[in-house]
Amino acid sequence: MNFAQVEYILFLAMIVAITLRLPWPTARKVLLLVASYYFYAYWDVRFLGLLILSTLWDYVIGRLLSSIDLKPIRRVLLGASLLGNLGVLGFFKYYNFFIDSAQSLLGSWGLQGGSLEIILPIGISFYTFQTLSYTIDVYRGTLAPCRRLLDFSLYVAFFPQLVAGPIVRASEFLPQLDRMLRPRPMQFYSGLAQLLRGFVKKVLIADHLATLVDPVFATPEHFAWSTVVLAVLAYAGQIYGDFSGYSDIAIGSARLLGFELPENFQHPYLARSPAEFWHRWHITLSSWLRDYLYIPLGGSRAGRWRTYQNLMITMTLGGLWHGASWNFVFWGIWHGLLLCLTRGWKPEASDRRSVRLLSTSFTFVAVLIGWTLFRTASIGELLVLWNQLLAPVDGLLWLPPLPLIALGLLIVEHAIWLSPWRPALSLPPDRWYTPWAVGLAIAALVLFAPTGFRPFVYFQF
Amino acid sequence: MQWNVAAGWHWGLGILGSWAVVWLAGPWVLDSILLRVPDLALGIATLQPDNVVRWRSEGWGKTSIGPHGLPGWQPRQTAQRVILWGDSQVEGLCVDDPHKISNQVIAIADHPSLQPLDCLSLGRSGADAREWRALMEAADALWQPALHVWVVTELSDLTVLAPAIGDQVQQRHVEPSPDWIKLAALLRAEAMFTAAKRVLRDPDSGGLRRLDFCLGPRTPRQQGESAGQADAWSGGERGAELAETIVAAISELATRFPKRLMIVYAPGTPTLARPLATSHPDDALFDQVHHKLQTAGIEVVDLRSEFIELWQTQRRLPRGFHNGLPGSGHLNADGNRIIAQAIVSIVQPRLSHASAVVETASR
Repeated sequence: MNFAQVEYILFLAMIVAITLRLPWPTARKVLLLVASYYFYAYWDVRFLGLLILSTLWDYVIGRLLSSIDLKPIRRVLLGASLLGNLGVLGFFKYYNFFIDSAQSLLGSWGLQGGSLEIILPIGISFYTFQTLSYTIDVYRGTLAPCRRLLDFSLYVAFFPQLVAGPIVRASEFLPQLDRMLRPRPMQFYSGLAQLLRGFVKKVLIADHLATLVDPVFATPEHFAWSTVVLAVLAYAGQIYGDFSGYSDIAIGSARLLGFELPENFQHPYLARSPAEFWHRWHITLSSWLRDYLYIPLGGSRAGRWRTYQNLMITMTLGGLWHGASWNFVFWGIWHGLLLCLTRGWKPEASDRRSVRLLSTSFTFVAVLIGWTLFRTASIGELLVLWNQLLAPVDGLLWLPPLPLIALGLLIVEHAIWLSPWRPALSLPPDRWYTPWAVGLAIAALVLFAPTGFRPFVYFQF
Repeated sequence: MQWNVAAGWHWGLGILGSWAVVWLAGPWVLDSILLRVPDLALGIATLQPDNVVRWRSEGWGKTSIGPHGLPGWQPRQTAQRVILWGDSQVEGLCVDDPHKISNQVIAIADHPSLQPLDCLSLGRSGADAREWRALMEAADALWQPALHVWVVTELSDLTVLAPAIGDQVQQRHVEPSPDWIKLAALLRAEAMFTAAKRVLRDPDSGGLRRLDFCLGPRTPRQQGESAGQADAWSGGERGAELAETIVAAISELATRFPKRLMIVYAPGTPTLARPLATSHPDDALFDQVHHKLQTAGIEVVDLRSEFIELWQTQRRLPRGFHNGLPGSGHLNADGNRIIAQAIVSIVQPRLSHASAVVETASR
């Protein structure tokens, strides 16, 4: 089930209505777990078993870790968790990538391999990272193991964040299951407001921008230089609107059920350095990579060159996490290089407006270059795109108005965020303008949603 | 904030106020509600005469509906008439009146060296050759045109003439607008109308939206079958047989309108692909139909090369708009101009010849 479907709105409304009425915490948990499994099986019931198996695997390992003190056995248990989670992820997500890559490398020597027709289970990258973080935290002793299977199952499968994040740590979620509080009125209202923001970002911004992005990235050689530049900008807006919109809907849905999920985006295009960008973009993934990959590799503690090496490894694997394709690897390498090159550069410490403007512009252009790697399906396509950007040939000048308006809305939203009007973005319920903004947003969602269904970009990861 | 009566007013008035703004702004940014009324002379439901229609979804057009529901037409008494037959491409609601095919024909012919022309567009959304054939007698009696032009933008418009295929295709009867649509138009409630359509209608099938709460996996929806059918039609004996049937039906019609039926082929190519797509699955079948029609003495104008030339020389496409997909969808002003030029260039020598014959006879 997709957040942007009418079915999801009805499903959410029904679950919220029942949980608000149910007096028993355990019954509410059972309901949420059943609803979450239904939500997952709606996409493909065949992979529900994999989700349950992954849950049981890490639950049992967590329980064993809590009862065994012998370090070698604890290491074996941790290894089993890593092997189980990364093995499943590796098979479903990367098997064909590695086989195809090896085949193209060895093909010149006449060696053949066999790729399989594997469907990528939706959300697998997200829930394996959640369960991994749980086991690692328990192993490190920073988290007490979850005693109730029901709680742990709900932590892994909680439907608002199941398929595309935010990646929630067990330490953030399990204590909320202990309390099982109903949403307070303001929490409920802010959940609704966040849902609305998410729908506006996804339906009115990202989906409209996609109508410009898709045809231009498919054949950039047919379009005029200005249209191609506009499409690259539009893609930056699309992926931000799509993914941060998804996160907003997830966080808003969770709030309606009385849960708080971590924020995933903080206006990343206003970042003044690549390092700050990663503190604002997909925050739960970048903090996961920092805590469970970069720091265990040694972080910045072992000298300059080891730091660079650790940054490159972390970002390359972070790129590969997004998808089994070389363009994601190159995107990760690009961001790793940016982090290495700008290490120690702290423009955010400066108060000078010129420094702020230049550093933000530099970071934005660097991120845009990265998005061209991320969006194109192959190196060949990337070269065609860059050829049209750097040495353009005559093409069709296409300036679609609705995507331009969507881009304008995004710019206005960022400008408001930078202005003293920033609190208005959270739609305070007692301000005169809030009902007007809500009414206009609902009308625009119904009247100007692009026809046809567009899945969220991050569903493929 | 306390949820009390004051808060209720605050929210109620705000939401209603914002929707009032949408209601007031609707006429600038949303399509008109299309009203259809019965036309007794033609025996079909047509767009309501004297109405003005706005098109905002693909293209940005304003159309004044003339007598008999003809889009953008004002009768001209002194000119020879040409009637255009087609579907929504010929109806041309997505472009302003001066850019419609019919008005571009009139404008191009409005030159001292040319015979003035009047051009009527009987294109209707969803219409095909079966409907054109059925209406030609009535239209001929009403306007006595010098020429009937079938503007074929998809070959499926012609393949319905083959009984086996025509029987499978549901004939589209356009009913007059029901009372609630008339009321919505009267209230200028475009926003409500559009909202209701979007909420209730399935965007893929066009039918009533159905909620789906079944568990997956889901199979992708069936794609439109026209391209696949065209592939099947085009090949071998089946294609030849189909072309034969189409040509026989058109030839039979041409005997009732001798030397007054012409076909213009304006398919949806080129389209943006790598490399540029200049051919269509229908092409092979069309080439057979074209050849047989010429042998039967029926004039056919094939505009595929002109459309490709438009791209090669000006980097423009005959179909698509800024607020649609380039190269896809309805014909734009450029595409309409190319069709109009072709019609005028074919019609003028005939009219010159006809008027010379009339002049000689009158001496």
